[in-house]
Amino acid sequence: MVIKVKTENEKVHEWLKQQLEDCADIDDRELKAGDKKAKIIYLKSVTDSQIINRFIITPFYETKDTKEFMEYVVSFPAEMEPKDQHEALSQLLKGFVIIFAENKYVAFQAKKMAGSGVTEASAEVNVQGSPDALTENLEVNLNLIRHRYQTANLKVELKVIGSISQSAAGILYDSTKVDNDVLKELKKRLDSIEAEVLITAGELEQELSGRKFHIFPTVVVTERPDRLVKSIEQGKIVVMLDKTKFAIILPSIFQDFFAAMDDRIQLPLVGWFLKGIRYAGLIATLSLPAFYVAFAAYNPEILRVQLTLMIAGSRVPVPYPAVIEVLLMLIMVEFLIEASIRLPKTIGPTATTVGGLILGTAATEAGLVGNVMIILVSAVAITNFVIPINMMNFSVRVLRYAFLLLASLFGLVGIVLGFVGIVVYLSQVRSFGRPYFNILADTNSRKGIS
Amino acid sequence: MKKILLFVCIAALLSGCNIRDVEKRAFVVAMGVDKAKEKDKLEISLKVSLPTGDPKAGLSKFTIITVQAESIAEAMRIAKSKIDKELDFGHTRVIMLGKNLLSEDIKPIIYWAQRRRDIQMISHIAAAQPDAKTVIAIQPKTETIPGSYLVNLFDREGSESPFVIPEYLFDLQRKISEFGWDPVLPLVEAQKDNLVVERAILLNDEKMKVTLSPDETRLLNILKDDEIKSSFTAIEHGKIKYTINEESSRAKFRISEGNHPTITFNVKMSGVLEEDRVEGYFTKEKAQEAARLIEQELNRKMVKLLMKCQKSKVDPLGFGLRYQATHVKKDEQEVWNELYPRIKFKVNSKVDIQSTGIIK
Amino acid sequence: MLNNRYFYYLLILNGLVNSVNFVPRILVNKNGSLIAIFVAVVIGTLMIIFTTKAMQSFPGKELPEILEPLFPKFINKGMILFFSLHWYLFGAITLVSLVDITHRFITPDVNRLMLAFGLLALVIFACQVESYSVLVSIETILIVNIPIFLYFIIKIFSNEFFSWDTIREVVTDAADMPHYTAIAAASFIFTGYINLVVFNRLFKDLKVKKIWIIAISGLLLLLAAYLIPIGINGIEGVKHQVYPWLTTADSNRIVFFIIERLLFIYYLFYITVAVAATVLYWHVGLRLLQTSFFKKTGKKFNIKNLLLLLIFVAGTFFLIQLDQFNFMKITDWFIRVRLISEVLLLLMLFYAVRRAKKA
Repeated sequence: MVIKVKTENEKVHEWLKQQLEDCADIDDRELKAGDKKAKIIYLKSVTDSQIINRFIITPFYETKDTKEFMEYVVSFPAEMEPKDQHEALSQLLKGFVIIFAENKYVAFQAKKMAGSGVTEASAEVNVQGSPDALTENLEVNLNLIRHRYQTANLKVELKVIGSISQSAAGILYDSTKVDNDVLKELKKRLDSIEAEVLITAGELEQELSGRKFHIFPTVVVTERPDRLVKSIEQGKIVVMLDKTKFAIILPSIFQDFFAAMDDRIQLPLVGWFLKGIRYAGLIATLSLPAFYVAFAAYNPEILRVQLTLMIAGSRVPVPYPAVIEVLLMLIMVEFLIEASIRLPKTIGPTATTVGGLILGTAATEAGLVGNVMIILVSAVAITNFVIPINMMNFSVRVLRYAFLLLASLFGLVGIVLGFVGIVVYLSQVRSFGRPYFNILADTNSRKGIS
Repeated sequence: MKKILLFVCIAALLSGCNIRDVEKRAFVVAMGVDKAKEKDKLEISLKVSLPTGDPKAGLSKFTIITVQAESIAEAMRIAKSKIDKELDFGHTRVIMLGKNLLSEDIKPIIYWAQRRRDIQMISHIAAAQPDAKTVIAIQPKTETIPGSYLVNLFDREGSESPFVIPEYLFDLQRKISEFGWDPVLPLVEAQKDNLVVERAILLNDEKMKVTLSPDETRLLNILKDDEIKSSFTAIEHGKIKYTINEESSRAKFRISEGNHPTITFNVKMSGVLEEDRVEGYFTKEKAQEAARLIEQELNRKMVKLLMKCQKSKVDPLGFGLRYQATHVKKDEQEVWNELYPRIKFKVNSKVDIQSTGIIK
Repeated sequence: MLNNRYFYYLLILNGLVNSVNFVPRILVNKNGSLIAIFVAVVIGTLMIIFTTKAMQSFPGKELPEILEPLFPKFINKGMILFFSLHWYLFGAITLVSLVDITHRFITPDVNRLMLAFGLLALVIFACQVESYSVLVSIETILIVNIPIFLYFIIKIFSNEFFSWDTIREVVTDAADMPHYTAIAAASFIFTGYINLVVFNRLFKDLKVKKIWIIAISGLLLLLAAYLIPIGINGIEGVKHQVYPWLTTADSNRIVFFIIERLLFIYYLFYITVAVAATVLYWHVGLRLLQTSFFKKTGKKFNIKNLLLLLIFVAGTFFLIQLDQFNFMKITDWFIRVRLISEVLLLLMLFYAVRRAKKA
């Protein structure tokens, strides 16, 4: 009986198989032709069988011997030589084929490109700007950026984050314009991320911004390459996460969340007007319900007598205080919004119609809420959507309830307290060490004015 | 997060439950003060609007609450037991004072209204005939919201009548406390189911002195230098010849001392011809004639009005204040008190007819 | 380092908040206020010039650091304690009068303690943020509020009931000896510069250009603060008012807007500005005490800080439960003492500059 000493190759092969024991999509096969012999191992789910057929199996049978085959394989740029078995495993998981032959093993890239093609932006729609949105593939995304920003100063650094998800994150910046303190801070924070799985840009945003409890988003999450390019040009840093359609921009200022990409296309006057509308929308959506409560419960003398009598009249059949009335309707609207977001596109409008029209009219006629209330709530809901960036949109939606609470406790003063509080809160927020809010700051400036 | 929760808890504990929503408040849209039949008692009437659930039904329902008490503050307490809602004076835009009350000191009522936070300083004060209770109970046909009839008249938002001299609360209180400036109150008269405002009452700092006729009220309005539109007729030998529609007027006065102290008024008016009862085109000569006739008439009437004020020792146009404002002396008030009864008046009016309308 | 415009915000904020509350009440009740106003403009402008000049010799330094080499430790600490008391008191008085105004004019249904609690919660949170953030918040609040203030002024001057005769009467009767309290009150408008004792740290190269603009706008502000209530409420009528400017605001009607009473718009303006001022002054007071009594890096910082804030809050509640007469007496005394302390501070700065030059 001959004791067969396992070669290094066999050991690695064994180990890899062991690691992926229960994976149904593993394919481990031996190629044999005469004295030519090789083993390949790969994951069917992440590899492209065409590539394997064309570049590995066919050449194997066409080459004279194993050595020639290996030389052929190595000549491809897609080939890599893993340092040890651990690296081999991680490459295997990424879609490489590990080829064992001639007492060595190499990894051959046969990644399946499951990513979608470039589609139109859906979360951040605009009228006249470029319609492109990011895809789920980091390389395609880089391609989108490179095409729009053609300079050697555009640096791309890759980092792997998430101990299990192994997500690749690309850090993009213009080396001549970037703020190096921010870059350093970003790298420090990226290194300190301990999450196991990181799939969306939103998660990355939360991991990066550090503080547990914050009201406003401090980095912009976007799906538009043109916004990314604009930000890079302003000296900001873009972090792109592989496998998501969104990228994040940092550091950001408050005003960034109120700038739509087609603002720059508009004539200056129109642009100003649009911006004004958005801020007015912000103030209205925050304070309208609160004003209603302050008016109804504390200061009915604030409005003209006609309006006062009208509102008082509309509230006559309502059996509960104004705060409850507002709260009820606001939550109803929240339900509506949530429902229409999650519903399939074909049913969405139906839900809105049923909810908005029928419920609203019926509730008034039944005397559960006043007429004026319905108008107010719809105004609040509409003004909320004026804010172009979703993250800010949601923050404002939540913040509204704080204002409602303040108004119900303090009346008119509560609203003022709320606004002053927000101003102070905003001015002490920092986005990667940079001031987040300054009323005179312009979205075109990097740091805000100081 | 914890901090915010703590904040909410403490705030909720402190707040208690004294919130009164709009529909639980009764809005007093007008208020009337009269002298009660009993001695030393006031009769307060409150016009309370009643909001209805259906906006299409209109907003013009109201009720009147009448209370008798020694003081206004006391009356308010009693009124509370006559209505199930909280009385809210935030929209009290008109305070009517009964004519019988004006012969006594009105200061306490004014100070009461001033002291209350919810009564606006831009509320109107007016005198009522026969009494305030009757006047506020009347709902003229054109009134859409309770109390809006008088407010529209006084605010000059709806009709712009030259016979209305509005008096705001803040204006009244400063005229009462200032030297050499006396209040004028519009007089609201109840006529069946309508309200008519065409006369004014002159007060000294406390009580009523003299009631003006509609024509005098209009002239006083012009002398007050208010932008007021009115019309004047040129009459010769008792026959109306022309009527002009006056569109803008300016009135300025000057006090001159010396041997014959006089107050000289310069009144400038411009207007458009509205009626021409004389044959022929309206030529420049006719315009000059019309202007001359109107000027003469105005001068005569205005001097008469001013002398009437002087005789009853009231100073609605602030001559005393002007005298004070232009003199540095310390004893100016005594000097003026001596000077005013013997001062002479002179009015120079200038009428300018700018156009003849569509036809000549 | 920091843009010089933030220095002007300090001046404007202080001017706005004072020109409508304490100052006009004192001015309309005293004789010879018009002359007092002119005297105060001169005093105020000189104080601004001298203090900024003196502060420029210590770029990037705060008051405790400047005083450090001058006197022994306990005198320094005592002085800091004395001065910071002014900032604290000013903030507290503004806060309490805010509570009073709100309770009196706007929402009598809300409990006073409740109101005070809400305001204090906000101010305590806000006055602990970084100095830079305080300045940014002030800038925001001012930029939003100055248009409202201008609208307010224009609205009143275009009111047909504004009586110019009363103004003329005030001017022709102005020849009285000005009262010290009136001068002290009027010069209060210019006091914003004093916050440099802390904010000097942030300004590296502070230059106050065109001082005459400050002087003239201060004069106009004072004249407006003094004469507008008189023009609307009358010379005698205004003496009856507890808060002349609020009553004045209530005497104006907005014709074309859903809100008819100007009072509410004015109130919203005043409360934002006053809260901002309270935040500013307490921030300065707090920083002065913190830097000279316990360092941020030191241990037990949090406990000591909390204790200090509790004292702040307790003092405010003490002022709140005072009645109107005692409270006004305290504010009057504060305004009178304030001017002297300011001069004292300036003299000390001069001494510091001389010492620094010799060394």
